[in-house]
Amino acid sequence: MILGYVNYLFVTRLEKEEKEKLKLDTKEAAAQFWQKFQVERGAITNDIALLSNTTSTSVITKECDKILERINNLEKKLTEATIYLPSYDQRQLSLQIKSMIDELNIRRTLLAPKQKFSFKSRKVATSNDESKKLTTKSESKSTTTTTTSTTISSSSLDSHNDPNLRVITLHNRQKAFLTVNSYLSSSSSISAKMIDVQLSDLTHCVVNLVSKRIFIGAIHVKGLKNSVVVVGPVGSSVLIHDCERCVFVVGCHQFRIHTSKQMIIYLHVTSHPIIEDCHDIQFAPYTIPIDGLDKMFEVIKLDPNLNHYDKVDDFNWHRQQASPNWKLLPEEKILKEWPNKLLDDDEMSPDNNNNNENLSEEIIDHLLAEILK
Amino acid sequence: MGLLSILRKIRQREKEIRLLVLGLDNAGKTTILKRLNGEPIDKLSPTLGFNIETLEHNGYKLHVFDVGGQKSIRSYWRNYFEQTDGVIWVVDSADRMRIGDCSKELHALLQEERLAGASLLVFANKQDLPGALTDQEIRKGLQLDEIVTHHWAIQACSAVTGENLLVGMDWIVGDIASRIYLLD
Repeated sequence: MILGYVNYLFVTRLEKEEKEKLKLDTKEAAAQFWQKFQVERGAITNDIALLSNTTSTSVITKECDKILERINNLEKKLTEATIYLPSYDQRQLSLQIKSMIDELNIRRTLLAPKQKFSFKSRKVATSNDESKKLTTKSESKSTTTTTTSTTISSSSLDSHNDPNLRVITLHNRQKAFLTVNSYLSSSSSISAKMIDVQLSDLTHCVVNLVSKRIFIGAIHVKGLKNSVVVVGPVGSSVLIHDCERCVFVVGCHQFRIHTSKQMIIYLHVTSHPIIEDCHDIQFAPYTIPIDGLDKMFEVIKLDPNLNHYDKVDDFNWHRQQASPNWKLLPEEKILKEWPNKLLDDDEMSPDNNNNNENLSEEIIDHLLAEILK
Repeated sequence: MGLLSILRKIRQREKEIRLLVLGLDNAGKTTILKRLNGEPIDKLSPTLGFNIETLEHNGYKLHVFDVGGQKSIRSYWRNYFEQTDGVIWVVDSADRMRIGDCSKELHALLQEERLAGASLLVFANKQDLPGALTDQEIRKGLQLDEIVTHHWAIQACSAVTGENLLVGMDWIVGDIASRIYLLD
C-alpha cells in the first residue's frame, strides 16, 4: 500500500519533470530557431544590398530569383516551426520575411527595370483578358483559343487538311471482304505512314487490316455483327462498342470493349484490358502467324514479351470472385490454323474483289462456327 | 491566434489549387497526369477508381484528381466536385464517333452547382494520332461557344509527346490565380 503510494508519487514527479523539460525544450527550440532565422535573414539582406547595377540585367534577375528562393525556403521553415514558436515570434518573423520580399522587389525594379516591364506587361495582358472575358464572353474566348491553337497548328497542319488522307473509314457494309491494302490501292491519296481506322455498322464482313506498308495509330469500332477483324499491332488504343458475335485479333497498348456480347478476342495488350456492360467475352493470346510481326511490334513500340490479355477488369463486377461476363478461351478452341486469306497482305486487284467476297463468307462461317461451338 | 496568423493561413491555402481531370474513357486523362509528373506512360491501364497527383506549377501547389471515365463510374465524379478550382476536360481527338456523347457529358457537368466558378480547360488530346480532329473542330463538336457560365479555353495537345501540355496548364493556373489575387 505504502509502497504503491510512494511509487505513485515517484511517477507523478517524473511526469512533471518531463513536462517541464518539454517546456524548456520548446523554449530552447524557439530561441534557437530565432537565432538561425536571424543569421539567414542577415545573409539574405546582405545579398540584396550587394546587388548592384554594374552587372547585366539577366544576371540580376537570376540573382533575384535565387534570393527569392532562399526567402521562400526560410518562410517554409517558419511555417514548420509554428508548432513550437510563440505567437509573438511568429508574427515578428513573418513580418521580417515580408519586409525582405519588399526590399528585394524594390531592388529588382531599380536594378532590372526590364524585368519589371515584362512583368507588368504580362499582368496587363491577363487583366485585359479578364475584363474582356467578363464583358464580352465570346470575344475573349476566341482570343484565348486562337492564341493557344496557333502554337500547335504549325506542327500538324498538313495532317488536318483532309481527314480522308489519315483515316480509313469503313461504314455500313454487308458480306464484304475488306482489306487495308485494297483500300490503299483504290484511294491513292493516302500517303501517310500511319493512319487511324474507324469501323462501323459492318455485318458479315471480314476485315483484314494487316499491312507492312502502313501502321495503325488507333482503332474505333462500333456496331459490328457476325464479323471478323484482323489487325497487326496498333500504336495506341482500341475501343470497341456495340458489337455482337465477332472475332477480333489485335495488339495494342490499351483495349476497351463496351456493350458487346459473344465475342472472341485474340489479344496482345501491355495494360489491363477492360470490359463494360458486356457478356460472354472470351480472351485468347495473340498468336496469329503474321509475317514480320516482330518488326511491327518494334516500330510501334509495343513490348512483345508483355501480354496482359488474361488480366481483364470488368467495370460491372467489383467483387473478389471472377466475373461471369468473360473467360479465357479454352485451349482446344484456340485457332491453330488460320485461313491463309486472312493473313494475306498482298494487294488485291479490283477485279478480284468478287471472288474475295465469296471467299469471305466461307471464312466468316468457319470462324463464327468456332464462336458458337 | 492573431489576425495575422489567420491571414497567413488563408494565404497558404490560396497557394494551393485543386484541379479535377475528367472526360470520357480512353481520352488520355491518366496519361496527361503521369506525363506532367514525369512518370512512365507506356503501360497505363484504364483507371478503375481515381489517381491523385500533387504537382508544383509556377509556385502553386496543384492537387490534381484524375477520376476514371468509364460509363459505369462516371456517376462517382460528383464525389470530387467539392472545392474544385478548375476542371480539365480531356478529349480523345481521334474519337470522331463519340464527340456527341462527349459534348453531352461536358454540358451536363457544367450544370453542376458545385463547379460554378471553376475554370474549364479543354485538352484536345492525341494530336499525335493521324486521325485527330483539330482543336477548332473539337470546339465546334463540343459546342464550347455556348458556354457562358465558366471561363474556358481549348488547347490542342498530345500526352504521348508532351506537346502543349504546359501551355494549357499555364492558362488554367493563371486563370485560377487571377481570381485568387483578387482576394489579396
